Amino acid sequence: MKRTFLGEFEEVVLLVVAACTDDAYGVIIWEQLQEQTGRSITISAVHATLYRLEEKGYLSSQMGGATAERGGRRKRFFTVTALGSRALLEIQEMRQRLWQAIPQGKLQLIG
Amino acid sequence: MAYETPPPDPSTPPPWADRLLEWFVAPHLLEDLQGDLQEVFQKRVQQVGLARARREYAWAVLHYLTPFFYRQKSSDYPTPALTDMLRNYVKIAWRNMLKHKTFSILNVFGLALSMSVGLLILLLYQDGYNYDKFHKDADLLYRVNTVANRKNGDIEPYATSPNPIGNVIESKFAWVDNVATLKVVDDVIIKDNQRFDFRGKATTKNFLEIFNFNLQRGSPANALQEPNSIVLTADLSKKLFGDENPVNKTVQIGNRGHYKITGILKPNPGKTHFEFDALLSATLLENTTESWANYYSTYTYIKVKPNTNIEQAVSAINNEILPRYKNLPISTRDASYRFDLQALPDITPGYSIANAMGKGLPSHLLWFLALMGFIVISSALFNYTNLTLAKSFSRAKEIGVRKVMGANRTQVLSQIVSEGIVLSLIALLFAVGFVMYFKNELSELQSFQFFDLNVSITPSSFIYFLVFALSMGAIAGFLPAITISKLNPLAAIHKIENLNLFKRIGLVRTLLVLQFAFTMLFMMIITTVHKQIDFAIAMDYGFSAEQVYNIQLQGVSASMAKSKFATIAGVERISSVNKPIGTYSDSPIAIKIKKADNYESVSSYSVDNDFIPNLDLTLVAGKNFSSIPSVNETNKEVIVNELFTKKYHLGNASESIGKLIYLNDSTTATIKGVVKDFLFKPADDALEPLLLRNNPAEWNLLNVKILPHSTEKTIASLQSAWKDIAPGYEFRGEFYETTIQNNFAISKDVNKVITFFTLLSVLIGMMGLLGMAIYSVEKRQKEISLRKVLGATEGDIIITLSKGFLILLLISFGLSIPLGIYISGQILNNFANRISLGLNIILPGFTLLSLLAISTIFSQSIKAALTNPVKSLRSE
Repeated sequence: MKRTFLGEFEEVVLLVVAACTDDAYGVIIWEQLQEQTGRSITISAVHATLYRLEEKGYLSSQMGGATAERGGRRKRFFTVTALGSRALLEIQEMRQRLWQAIPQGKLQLIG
Repeated sequence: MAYETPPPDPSTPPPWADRLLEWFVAPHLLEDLQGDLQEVFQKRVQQVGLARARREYAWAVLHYLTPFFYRQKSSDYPTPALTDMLRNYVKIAWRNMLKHKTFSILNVFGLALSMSVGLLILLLYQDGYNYDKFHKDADLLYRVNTVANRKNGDIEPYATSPNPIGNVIESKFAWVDNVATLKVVDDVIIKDNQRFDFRGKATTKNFLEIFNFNLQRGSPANALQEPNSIVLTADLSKKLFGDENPVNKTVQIGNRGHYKITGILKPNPGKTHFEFDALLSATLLENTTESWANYYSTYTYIKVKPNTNIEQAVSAINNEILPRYKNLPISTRDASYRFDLQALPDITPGYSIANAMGKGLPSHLLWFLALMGFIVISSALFNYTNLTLAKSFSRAKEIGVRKVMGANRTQVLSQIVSEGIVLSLIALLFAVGFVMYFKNELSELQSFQFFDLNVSITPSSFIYFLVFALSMGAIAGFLPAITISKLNPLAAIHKIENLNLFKRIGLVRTLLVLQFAFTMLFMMIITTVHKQIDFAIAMDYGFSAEQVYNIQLQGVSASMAKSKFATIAGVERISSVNKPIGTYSDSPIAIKIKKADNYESVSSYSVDNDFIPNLDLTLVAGKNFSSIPSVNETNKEVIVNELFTKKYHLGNASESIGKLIYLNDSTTATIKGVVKDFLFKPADDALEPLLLRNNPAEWNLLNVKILPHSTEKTIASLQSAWKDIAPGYEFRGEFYETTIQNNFAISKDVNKVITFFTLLSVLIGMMGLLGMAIYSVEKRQKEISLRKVLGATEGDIIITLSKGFLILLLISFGLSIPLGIYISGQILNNFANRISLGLNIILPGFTLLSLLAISTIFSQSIKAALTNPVKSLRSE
């Protein structure tokens, strides 16, 4: 099985894009990310990750409409590609397996 | 009310941050990224106010300054990269070359010729700056030079220094690391009755410590330790002993006794200014320890400690040494001395210095060559510029179209420059061929061996060649390119007649005039030098060298050799002398007339009684030397020339007979005879006072006068007689006339080189002129036809076409002739006996250049004049 290399932040960004109900673009994804993780994140980090995921083929993008508040600049909408969704599924599957492998009662020490 | 700049739009982010972002971030990311930032900004303005939003915006922008955002996107389309542009330039250049074949051939040939000169000079430089590269710490090594201030005000530097100076420097100064002293010992090794001359240097182990001359046999620490040890170079060892190991063998060295061979040097890893066949142990140094006055037979080299201030070191040496001269005898012709340190890398190539050890081209000759090369190359570049500018009239449309299509000035410029480069790269191919040919010619010159030049093409030379050709092409292209690229596109396309082309004509004319002026200047200089050398050789020296054959005695007894040679049938008369008269070699003696006078230096030769009749000299008064000199005569009687009696106010010739002279090597001498003045130095020196002595111990050369009919046979007999007279000695003889001509060998070579440059520049100049003539005739073909149709004769047309060029030619003569006369005068001032300046200098160059130029121009004008006007008028 081909291993999927995704960093933790990349995985979260990818999940956020997948979870977006509206068209996902930079600002929305950034806000969602902060909301979901509760962390303060610079927007440049989000941009860098989005472009990197696109280069790796997990995301695709197309340019969309412009709004006045953007100074007439167009938005770049990201969608998860087939490769991206498979990667997410594989990660989830692997996690699932590991969760199921945890012996009964072990986590209660922590919980 | 003061006018205020309006406040920035309240709801925009700081403009500098935007500019920074736009400048830095890759264009394909910029739009959406900046859009996102601005969207956030607008939201933040609502939430937290303008000021804070702006700060946040700026802060966010700064986060984008990472390589990730700077990186450009690799495009899906072929990028319009520089290579494509270049390919197009080369293509256009190639097409243009083919379109104007005549011009291209003239250009390529001219560039190739001048480039080959440049390449040769480059090779000479490469060779010239390749000396003494193999010594470690070369920057710490210095030679102590003596600068002699003559009484007559001349200053002459010597590569040698007084023998004891090395010891003083070593013992007195803390900044000195090591000192090596080398005393010249040129002698002969005698082995199995065979004599081998060698150039030796007596020195100590310090020499081997300082310089990287390594031993292949023997140990450097002990090789020069014992008295009477000798270290041979690999070459000399091979010559003496073949392949056997000579270490620990003994050889006899001249009259110095037997020396033990203690080491063999490895062949030098590179060129060096040092010149020796053997190193001898330094016992020989100690003999002359106190002779401060003798600064011409010892070399002193020092190694200083790192970070020594050399200027201070020099003054420290002078402060230490100069006071010692107060009570020391000083050479008669010197007023004072100064000592200087010359860094090892500056020695070769370096300034001219007396007693220089090694060979190698002096730096001023290298500079002179570079200047000549520069002039020839400029001439070829001028040609290129002229022809390209001329062509540009017909290319103005092309340039105009290019500009209209959006080419900016730099692009047009680089296109024309690239044409120059393409052409010069083609020229390079031919130039390398020329270099191969000239290289062989050059190696035949005598001075080539004299300066130990070897011009060889190494792989690194090719890199130099390429760089040279590229830069030459760039310069060639750049000159016309600046003018052409200035063209106004509208004017170029629309109304070609209104273009301000006459400015460019002015440049073309100036360059043509300059080119011809330089060529004429060259012609005048070579004519002067050539005529002067011929004059000096053919000049009447006042003695007869005809049919006289000189034989060097190499220490063999003169009277014995003379008596043996005298028996040979073809020999008319033999005289003995210490050095050949009529050459630069000289043996001065110090004299004074009154006891109270100071000693003065006078040229002197030691001769026998046959000398005066043999060389057809005339005794004006008194008597010749006697055939067997008595002891009294040897020391006490002299013959002087007429100038001597005049200079020292001894009265007329017969009055001076019997007068007394003080000589510094004996007490007094009387004048026995007065000889008519004759030139005993080459023609560049003036007549000087002369004193002849009769000391058999000094005779070292026989002047054998041979009867004219059987010259060859007599010389053969002389050679076979020599084998009996001096077994083991090489026969060294040549005609006196050859000896005298050899005085001018170097000047002749220099003149050959200048002649070569001159011919090149004549050739290149003519090619340029031809190109211009072809062009102007082509351009005016219609005008000529119209003139003919309207009744002009062929003669009128030829005059119309040639007039402009002839005026230019006259202007260049007007510029160059006065300058040439001045420079020739300066050159001739170095000669005491010289040719007169006048038409004789001007005419050869003037005639040749005028004939060539006029025939070049006329050939084109006549061709144009004879063309049927219908041919050019029919079309259009």
